[in-house]
This record gives sequence, C-alpha cells and structure tokens, in this order.
Amino acid sequence: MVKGIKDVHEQILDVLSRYLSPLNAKGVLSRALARADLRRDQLDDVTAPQVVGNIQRAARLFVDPAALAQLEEELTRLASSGQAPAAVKVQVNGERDIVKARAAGRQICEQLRANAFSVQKVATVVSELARNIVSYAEQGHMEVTPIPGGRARVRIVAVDDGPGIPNLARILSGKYRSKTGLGLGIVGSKRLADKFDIQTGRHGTTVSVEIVL
Amino acid sequence: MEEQYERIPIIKLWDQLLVPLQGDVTDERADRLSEEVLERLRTSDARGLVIDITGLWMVDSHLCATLSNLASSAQLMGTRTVICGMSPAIAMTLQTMGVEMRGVRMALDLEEALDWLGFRVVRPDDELDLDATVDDLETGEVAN
Ligand SMILES: Nc1ncnc2c1ncn2[C@@H]1O[C@H](COP(=O)(O)OP(=O)(O)O)[C@@H](O)[C@H]1O
Ligand SMILES: [Mg+2]
Repeated sequence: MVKGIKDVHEQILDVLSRYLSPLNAKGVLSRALARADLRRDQLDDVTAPQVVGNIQRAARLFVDPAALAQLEEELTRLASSGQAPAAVKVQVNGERDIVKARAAGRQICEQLRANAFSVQKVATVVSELARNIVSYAEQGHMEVTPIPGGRARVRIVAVDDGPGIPNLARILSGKYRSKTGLGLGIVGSKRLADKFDIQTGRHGTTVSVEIVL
Repeated sequence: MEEQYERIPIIKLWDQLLVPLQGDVTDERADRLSEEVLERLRTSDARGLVIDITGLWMVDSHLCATLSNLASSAQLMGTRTVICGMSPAIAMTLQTMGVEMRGVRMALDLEEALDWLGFRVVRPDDELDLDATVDDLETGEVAN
C-alpha cells in the first residue's frame, strides 16, 4: 500500500468515528469483520459491502437515530467505491444541507484517494457556496462531480434562483467589506480553484469550480 | 435531535476552560457554543480558555470568523485565550483563501497551548527528594 493513501479499513473507521467514540468505532468494525469471518487485511473493495452490511446492523444500537440515515448513506457510498464514485446532487434548503453537501464532497475526494489538502479545498468550497445559497438565495442545489483519470479532478457547481450578486466585480477584487461574513467565500473559492466561473443576474447565480486533486 | 451527537463539552481544567471541537460543526452549533462559553467565563473563575480544533475536519471562512470572534470576545473579558490544533491542510486552505486570524493567539497543539498558559509538567518522581523528605520527617519539619 502506498503511504498516505487510506485503505478501506481506515476509510470505514474514519466514517464511523464521526458518529461514534473512537473506542466504539473500533469495536463495531472489528465485530463486523469477525462476523464476516474476515481478517483486517482481507478488507478491500470486494469484501467491503459485506462488512458494511454488518456494521449498519450494529450501528443501529449505538448511533443517534437522527444521524443513522446519513451514516448509512456514507457507508453505502464507501462500499460501492470499487467503481468510480458517482456524482452527488444535494438539494440545499437549510443549514443541515450545508453539512450534507460538504460530507458528500469529502467522500468523493476520498474515493478518488485525494490528499488531505485537496479534500480540504473541495470541502471548503462546497461549504462556502452552499452557505451562500442558504444565506442569500434561500434555496438551490449543489452538484459535486468526480472526474477520474490521471489528473483526477472534482467539479463543484452551485445553482440558485435568488436575487443575484450586483457588486460581483468588487467582491472578486477582494476589497469588498461584507456585513454578514468575512467576504471571502467567493473570492476564496476562486483562489482555491483551478478553474472558476460565475454567472449571476436577477434570476439567480451559478458558480462552477474545478479542483485538481 | 441531531444536536445530540454534536454536543460539545466545555471542560474545566483547574482554572482554565477547555473546549475540544469535534467532527462537523454547524453554524448554528458554533454560534450557540460561543454563547455558552462566554456565559461560562462570566460565571466561573476561569483565567484561561483553550479552543482545541484538532478534531475538526473542516474549517471554512465562516467557522473561522466565529472562532476568532469567540477568542476576541473572551480576551475582551480578560481571559487569556488560545486556539490550538489547526491541521496543516486547514491552515493551507485558509491561507490560500486569504483568511487571517489577526489578534488571536494560535498554538500548534494542546501541549503548546497549556504551556503558553503557564502549565508545566512536573512528575512526582522529578520532585521527590527522598533524602530531604526523610530528613524533614526526622526533624519533624513536615507541615501538619
Ligand atoms: N448565491 C448568492 N446569491 C445572492 N448574493 C450572494 C450569493 N452569494 C454571495 N452573495 C453576495 O456576495 C457577497 C459575498 O459573498 P462571500 O464572498 O461568500 O462573502 P460573505 O458571505 O462572507 O459575505 C455576500 O455578502 C452577498 O451579498
Ligand atoms: Mg459567504
């Protein structure tokens, strides 16, 4: 295994430890492995679905019911990562959707085996754009699309039909003083992006960002 | 409901407060946490505050602003405040975006933060001078 790339065991543990204490996360995973009659080093893309099934059964006992659906979604996506990860579309209507969108961005990056900095860049851009939708346009949607290949990339598109951004030039110049935040969401996303495009008008805003992993 | 698994503890550590952030913190939770911490500073005798972000997987401009504001407010209330544990990936991302944390004391990790607040590690073995202790016992000079 190449150093710095997480194996399936670590990936599952990462997901679990966002919902359980480190000790419980390890316990749940090792029990799921034992039940599938697998050793830790036999856990790979092929055996993952079986283990993930066992984990989901055990997790119901430990994880907050309100968080269970999202955990299952994350695990299921992880288990199917033998194939190229699928694009994820998230409807953005409120605060919870910001969390959901950045979790999806993170997971796609991890499936493409991105390094920590790339994961951070993608998750942060997703978070900034999703928050802008919630704060300024009320609702819209986000799409995170993996583009595998030699130079794997992730495309992030945020779409809303809100009031648009009349002072865009000033915002992009970096001189804008925001009343609601640091005023660095859009220009910061542009600085993190390898490709950046923004279309805005009275009928809404669409921001597209590409980040090379 | 969801808030249950996001509960952030405010730990009292002698005369300091320690706030270890973990996982994915929503805007709402971060705002509420700030209020809770400032209220605790008001009602307790805490002289220092450590905000440990080692467990945060993501910090965007908004969370960064919330944390800076919390630290600055605590400082205005006379509490020595330090934020510690920012991962290299988060630091590089914020730096690229142009986000700054002016006027906020940052430390590499919890140890460095506590060090800055004046804590020193003293293990019993380091200090216990057996001969001296025995002498004291014999001359009856041990307090109480
Ligand atoms: N999707 C959007 N629809 C309408 N206005 C927006 C949108 N996104 C951003 N804005 C406007 O652009 C400004 C700059 O946004 P941003 O760079 O994210 O900084 P901040 O959110 O911290 O103010 C916001 O203050 C807001 O007025
Ligand atoms: Mg913003």
